[in-house]
Amino acid sequence: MIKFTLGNKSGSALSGIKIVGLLRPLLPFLPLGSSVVLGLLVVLLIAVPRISNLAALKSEIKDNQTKLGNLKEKYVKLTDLLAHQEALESDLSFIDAALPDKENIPELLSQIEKIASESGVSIRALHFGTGASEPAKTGKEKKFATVQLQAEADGSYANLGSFLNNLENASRLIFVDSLRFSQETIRDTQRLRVSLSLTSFYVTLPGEIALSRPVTLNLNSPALSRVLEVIKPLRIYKINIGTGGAGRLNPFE
Amino acid sequence: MAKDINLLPGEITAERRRKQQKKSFNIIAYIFLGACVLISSIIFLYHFFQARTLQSLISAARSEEQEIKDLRAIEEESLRLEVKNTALGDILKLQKKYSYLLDMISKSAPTGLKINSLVSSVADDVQVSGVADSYAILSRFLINTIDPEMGGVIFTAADLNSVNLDERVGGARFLMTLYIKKGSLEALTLSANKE
Repeated sequence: MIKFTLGNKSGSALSGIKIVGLLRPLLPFLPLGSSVVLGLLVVLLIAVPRISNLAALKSEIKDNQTKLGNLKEKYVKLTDLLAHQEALESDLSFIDAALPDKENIPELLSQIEKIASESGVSIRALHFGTGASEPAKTGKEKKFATVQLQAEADGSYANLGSFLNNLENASRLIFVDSLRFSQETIRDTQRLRVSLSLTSFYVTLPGEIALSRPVTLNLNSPALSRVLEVIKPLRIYKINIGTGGAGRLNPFE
Repeated sequence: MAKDINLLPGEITAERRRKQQKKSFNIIAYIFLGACVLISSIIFLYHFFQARTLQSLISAARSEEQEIKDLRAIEEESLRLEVKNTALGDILKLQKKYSYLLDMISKSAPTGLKINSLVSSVADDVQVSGVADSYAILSRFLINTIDPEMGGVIFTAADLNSVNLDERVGGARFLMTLYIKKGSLEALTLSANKE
């Protein structure tokens, strides 16, 4: 400092002397100033960013706590269902027979033909038109899709009655929407003909199950018991599709 | 009169006061710095532990998700059962037991009456046409259809739409409408199975 102030008489040396002179009264306040600056720096660099992030962090913790709680609850329910897997699969076999995952039109038509032949009724026509199935709707609307069919059958009153009864009690649900009985005379023989509008059902299941989706199935729920009570006695018609011989040189022949 | 003599020069007193002030300022400065460091440390630690809590929650949720994924098969089965059960609950309410309707018509038809056609559609009524040997037999049929012991179980009313004497068949050709009680055919699905 001394060297700087005495050894050089240039203009910059003079201004340096002036600055030092001005700063000298502030020197006692240097620790105070540096402490304040340092303190503020610490607060600004450490505390402030974390405080601004704290609310988001807390909300994230809360969300994850809820998520973990739900997942734990789901896991407990699933392990409970695993313990009752046999009962679940047994219930499911009845439910799947009543309400398949797909339209399964050929199997459905085969079932109707089988019921007709077992009831002593001849099927004259059985129609399923393209677009006759109604896709499943979600939400509060329909939770299932339908397949519409038209059937015409001949037989005696008793046999036609039995046909209707067997249709109503078949494992794959087939409902009669409307019917028309009429008497026809074919070659001096009177035959009773019935035209039926039929509806069958299926359910398209959601493809991917979200992990957050809760398990709400209760195997002891009255709703499930009521449904099983109705569908368990229904008769299962085994449709044998067979293996057949596949691969022909000319499928038009 | 005695006079107070200040033995210390004014400069020394001022210097002492300055030193005292400087000391106070320094103490305040260090306290301020200490407070800043302390508060920042508390916030830092609090944030650190909160972040660690979040990390542990996330990893716990991941491990729970993995355990749930291992039970995917049972979850799919339970979902299938649940979805189908809900759908079946709605579907079964729609079922109409037409075989029961035929039974009730058979039960109500007296001897001497022949039904030629019977049409039932989504509207809750049935159109019946046929031939009765006499008007009395036709009248009996009308009464039977709403008799609580016979057709009255499912029919609320019977309207005779037309009746013509047909000499060719030697009887009265008729056309009538039977009105089905709302829900009587649908309710049978559950009630019949409850028994």
